[in-house]
Amino acid sequence: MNKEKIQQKVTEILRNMDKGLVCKEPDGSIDPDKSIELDSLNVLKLIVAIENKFDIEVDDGNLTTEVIGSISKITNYILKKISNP
Amino acid sequence: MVKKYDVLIVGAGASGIAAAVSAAKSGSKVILIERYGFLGGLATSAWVGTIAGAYYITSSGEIKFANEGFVKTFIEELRSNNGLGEIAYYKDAVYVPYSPIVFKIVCDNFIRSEPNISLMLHSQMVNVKIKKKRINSVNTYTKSGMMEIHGEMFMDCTGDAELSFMAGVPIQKSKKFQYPSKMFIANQVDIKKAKAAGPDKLSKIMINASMLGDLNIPRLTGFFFETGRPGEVIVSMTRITGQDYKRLNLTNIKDLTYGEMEGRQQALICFDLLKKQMPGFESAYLSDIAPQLGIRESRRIKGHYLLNRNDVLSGRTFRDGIAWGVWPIELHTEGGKTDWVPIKNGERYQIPYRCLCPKNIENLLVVGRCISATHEAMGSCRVIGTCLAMGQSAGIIASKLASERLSTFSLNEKDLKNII
Repeated sequence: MNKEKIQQKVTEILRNMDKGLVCKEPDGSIDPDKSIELDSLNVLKLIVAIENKFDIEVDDGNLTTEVIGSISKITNYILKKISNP
Repeated sequence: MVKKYDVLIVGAGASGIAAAVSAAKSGSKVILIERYGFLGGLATSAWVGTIAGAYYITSSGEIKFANEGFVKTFIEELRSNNGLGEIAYYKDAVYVPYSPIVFKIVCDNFIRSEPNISLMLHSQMVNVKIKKKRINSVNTYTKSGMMEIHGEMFMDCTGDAELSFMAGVPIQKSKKFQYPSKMFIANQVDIKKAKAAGPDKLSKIMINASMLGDLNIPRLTGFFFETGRPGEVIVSMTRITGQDYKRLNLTNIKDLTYGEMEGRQQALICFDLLKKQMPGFESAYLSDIAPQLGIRESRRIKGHYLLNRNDVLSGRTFRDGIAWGVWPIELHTEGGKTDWVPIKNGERYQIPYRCLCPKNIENLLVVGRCISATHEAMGSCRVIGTCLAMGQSAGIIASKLASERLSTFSLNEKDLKNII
């Protein structure tokens, strides 16, 4: 699965969790580098969704804002996990 | 049959027990009236599972008791009877799990050791007689028949403000009560294995099951608490709403009845999920489901002061403060989540005496889950540790008021400081 596809799925996951998490820019695009704020329940929801969608195991302990603070950060995390299971 | 006491207490939960013991130790003749056949209130009938609000973390990181006196004694008694688990943390708050059966026995021991306390179990207050702003007596239905019991001072420790409601005390109109839960006990749990799976494992199982449509309850976070007995845990996974996820009014008999039945159904579904998916629960069995719904909020009076969210979060002190609160604002709310707003580390807030005093009755103190506090503030001060502390102070105050035939309105800050 390539980076673009992963990013699309991550965006979909976040939208399903909470429409407010992913905001469109004025031109209709989505900025993957825009910070997203996840409360503790949404973090758990994200973990479960990622694990199910990408068949990877998420290490809860490492999930800081650095790792999941934006769509592109989440995408990079997943890419890394997929390439180094 | 007519009996008269110095202090008449309705409700033998945490606040009622503390009040009864404290009033008795202060020299009052006390009667404690309880509708169930055992003491402890929701701690023993709903199996709350944890004593919250007894400890807090100071700004230097030390764990200390939030209040001195009865809370400390009670907890130490639980521990010496092997009824207490290890101190644990949830985010920035400290709690300690306990065994409901040991809690019951410890309550019994405290009451039995006080010759000044008369206890009536299986006794239901049915109405109140009032004369000129003072409660004169309560009529109580008991197995021996109706009894009219007179008192000098009265204490509403029912949690649902039942005595206050019957006495015509203004009650806050609340559009939202916190959702209740039905707790259950699982036995033969490999607790080490369950804990090793991580603190969020159960919640992740619930979220996953919810996403797959296998779990249809409005809650996405779950916990289990060790009771201190081998292989035994109390589980908190349920959340009871009405049909279409409406909030139940737990002072409405239809809603309450529905809640109890629905709660048991949810407990069965949740246990089934645990057994199938939660590490450590493979060989567990469902030992029992709590006899009573775990009610987090019901009626609250309108007192001389309304404790609010800002008071709690800012660690406010009052000149008429009678107990310290330390628990975060914990609200079981929509969307399956629990709102959690901590008090700053090291901070505690006080509960003012005025929150216990109804405006229209001068010999009634209201204690525990039904004091004059907003929905949000009650999200903090309803917990067992805080109720024990409130009960202790209120019991001492009630004893003093009874002995001198004073009204609740007559005490000023200096008097309070001298009394407690």
